[in-house]
Amino acid sequence: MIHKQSSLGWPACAALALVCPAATSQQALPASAQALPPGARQIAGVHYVELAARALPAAPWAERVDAFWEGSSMSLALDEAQIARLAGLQVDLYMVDHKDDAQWLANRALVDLRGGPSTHLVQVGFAANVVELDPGNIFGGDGERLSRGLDIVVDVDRDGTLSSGDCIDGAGRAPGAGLLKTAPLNGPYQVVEQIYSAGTWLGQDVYYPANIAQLGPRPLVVVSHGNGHNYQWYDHLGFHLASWGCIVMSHTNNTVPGIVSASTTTLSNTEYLLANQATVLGGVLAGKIDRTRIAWIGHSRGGEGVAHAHNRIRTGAYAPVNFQLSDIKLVSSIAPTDFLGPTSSLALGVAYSLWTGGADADVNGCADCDLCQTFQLHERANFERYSISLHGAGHGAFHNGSASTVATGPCQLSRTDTHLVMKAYFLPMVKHHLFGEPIVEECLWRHWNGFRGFSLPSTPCLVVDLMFRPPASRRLVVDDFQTNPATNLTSSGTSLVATVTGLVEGVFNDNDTVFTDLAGDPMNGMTLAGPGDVSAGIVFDSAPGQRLTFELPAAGRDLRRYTHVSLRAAQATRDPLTTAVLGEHDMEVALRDGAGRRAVVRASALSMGISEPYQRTACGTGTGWANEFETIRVDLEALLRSEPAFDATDARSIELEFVSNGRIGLDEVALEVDP
Amino acid sequence: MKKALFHVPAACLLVAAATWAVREPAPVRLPERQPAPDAAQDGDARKIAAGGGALEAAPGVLRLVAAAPFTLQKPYDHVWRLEAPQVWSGWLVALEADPALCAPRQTPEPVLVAGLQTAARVNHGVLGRVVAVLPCDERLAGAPCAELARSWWWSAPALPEQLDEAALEAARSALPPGAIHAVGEAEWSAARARGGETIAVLDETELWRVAAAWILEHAPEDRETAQGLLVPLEGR
Repeated sequence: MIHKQSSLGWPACAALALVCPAATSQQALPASAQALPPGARQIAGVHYVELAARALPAAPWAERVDAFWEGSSMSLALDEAQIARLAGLQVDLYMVDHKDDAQWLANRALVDLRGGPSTHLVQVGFAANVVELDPGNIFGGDGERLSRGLDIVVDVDRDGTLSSGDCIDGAGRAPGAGLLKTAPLNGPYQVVEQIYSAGTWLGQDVYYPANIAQLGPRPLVVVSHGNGHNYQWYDHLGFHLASWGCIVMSHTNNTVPGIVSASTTTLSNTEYLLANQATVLGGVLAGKIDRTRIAWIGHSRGGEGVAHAHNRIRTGAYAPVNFQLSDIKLVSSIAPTDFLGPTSSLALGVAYSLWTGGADADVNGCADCDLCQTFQLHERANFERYSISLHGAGHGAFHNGSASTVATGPCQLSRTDTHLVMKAYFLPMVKHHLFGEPIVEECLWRHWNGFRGFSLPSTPCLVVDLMFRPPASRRLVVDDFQTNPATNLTSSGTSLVATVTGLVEGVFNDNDTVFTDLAGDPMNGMTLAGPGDVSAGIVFDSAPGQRLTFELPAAGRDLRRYTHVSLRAAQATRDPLTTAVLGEHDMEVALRDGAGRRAVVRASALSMGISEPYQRTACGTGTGWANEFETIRVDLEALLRSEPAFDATDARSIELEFVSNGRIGLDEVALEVDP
Repeated sequence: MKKALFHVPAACLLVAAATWAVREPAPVRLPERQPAPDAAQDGDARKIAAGGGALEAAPGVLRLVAAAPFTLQKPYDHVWRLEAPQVWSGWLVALEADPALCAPRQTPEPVLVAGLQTAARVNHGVLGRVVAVLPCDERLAGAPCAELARSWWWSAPALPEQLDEAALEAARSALPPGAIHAVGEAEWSAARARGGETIAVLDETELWRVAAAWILEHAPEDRETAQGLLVPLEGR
């Protein structure tokens, strides 16, 4: 996937024969024939293309993805350019361990992980060239890496080497695909846990690989518990992340006085361990903590505390001694409170993740309690950010203490089930941000319908809703509703044409104290913003055939720069249009070019949809809890496949067409590119 | 490797007892620390259904079970109030309270107050049995140190670190009759007898380890909290 590092212009070009006519010519193309990124053409004549794909049972037949769970099917899909070039040829298909360009130059032999290549007769038509490479027989992971890097190769001349005319998905610096170890399972290391105290509020429960003496410096994950919780209640995270190569330290957290005190203990414990690593626990950690790779995870008041601690450093209110702000690579809040509000409880300029339990009976998310609304912290984060919402998870389900799970509502999740999900998401987050495995980012936005790993709870009660937003450098915002409040104008200054009804644009803050469906509260169920917050979007009633048409800004017309169309949406809780049909809400995502051609794909065709709200009562009358946004990221190549004549250099608008009745919240319409 | 063994509470008590001396709390020190500059609240119309708004009456201290004065050689900051005064002395207490007021939660909790001084709860007191550190600070608390531990009440839910003298004064003024638990002579004598002599220790860490032993004695249901405070000390 060379494009992910060095070019925004090439991948879609490779996929679109009409805009890349040179790509349809015969084998051994000159290097200049394709708009390849500098440095990518190390092996002359080799076609660097996208091949790895997830097969779909119907059009668009395949979705370009990079990450595959071990035990799951992995496919190859030839793009139209390669089909045109290779139609009628018998080719060999290889799955090989990833090599960078230099390694390929040094050794071009193809060694298939399956014992030998599969063969394929290239035929006319896209669907005929979606080929399963592995049904799930190959193990994922690679030592302490969650992903096993793979390169996918089409050996056109069938000579068993990567040579001119062949196609490869991979090489460069990044693999073409990643085969992921089952994330909830423990990693390769045995773990040692030790507890010590250096004084009041310096009690630390430390987990580290048993063979740490043989390992280089390790990332540090700090866990800050919540109020009335205990620092010894995070074994599930400590053992898991340490088994994958982290040093995890869970500390006593001074939460009862308040959030400032809690943040102080996050800071003081981080400082203490870094400053005293040579001596604590008999010196076993001496030189083993990489202070430039730190994650802060906080729960509840501690979840707000870690965000506040980051903000204290950022604003200069606290000057760290043994680390610096840029060393904090990830801040994660589990069911956080929001006592301090928009100016103090926020993590800016750092990857941020949020966990929300739908059945949380403490930080409950009801409209009557701003400090109980977790999403506000997520909305303030301005860098890469993730949100993971679990229907049925209670406040206490996130720790492993023996007390109540502090839950109310139907279909509650056990602690065991909740912890499996935590491991399934925390590990990719940590591997991405502390170990540099960008390929696992997909774990944090792909919907479970099409990307559910193994060793996860089988209960139908488990619903996981994800929000994802990459950093600004990887996205072109078409409309995030933060400026230009007129409903016919996008935040990027282009037009928005709506045929939906009842459209209201405003701050995502329920304007009363209940989730009851009431006239005069168009933002009912919205808890993304509290007083002083600015997160805004639109709500509207949808019906089949109704559309929202977002004109693309000039910078968005050339789609070859991007890999995905992205948006986030939620069903409005307790609205009659929502309660009439409880289930996933579908929509069509379309693009229109300057000649009026329309390419379209349904979200459901890519295994995506918008879940109904968690069916919890209280907080007024009716059933349904806070509106839960989910991000839908549509693979551009899959979308454009529906209209082969589409001019990807001249896209003019994004159209969202609804296929059923509903009351919908919508935000963050954007074009994005993968890492 | 298994988790480190906890110190046995009896041993801790013996260590603490060996350092006790018979004397009343030392003179107070003036507050020396101001709240962090970024700790200011938004102050706008935030909805706090869980009860964190204006301070209101919330009676609920039922009995002072044990009380012992303490003195420190090294002070620490009492972050359980906005002024964060330095603590050199005070009372270690065990008391019985309405369990409903003690239940831990993430939203604002009632704040335990004696006189006009906030008490630091060492355990939450899930069954209403609370061990707390009450710093003596006559200037802030408005009562002689010896009298401070004889007037207990709960404020309405709030974050202690956000409460200052004025807020506490206003809250106390608004209390209905009977909201303050005044410790009578018999109760006081019994509590003092159970509490023993002055706890003279080095610092906050040693004080809280004594408090942990009190939790094991007076509120064993919160032993997990106590055990967490009694893990082996390093670097001292």
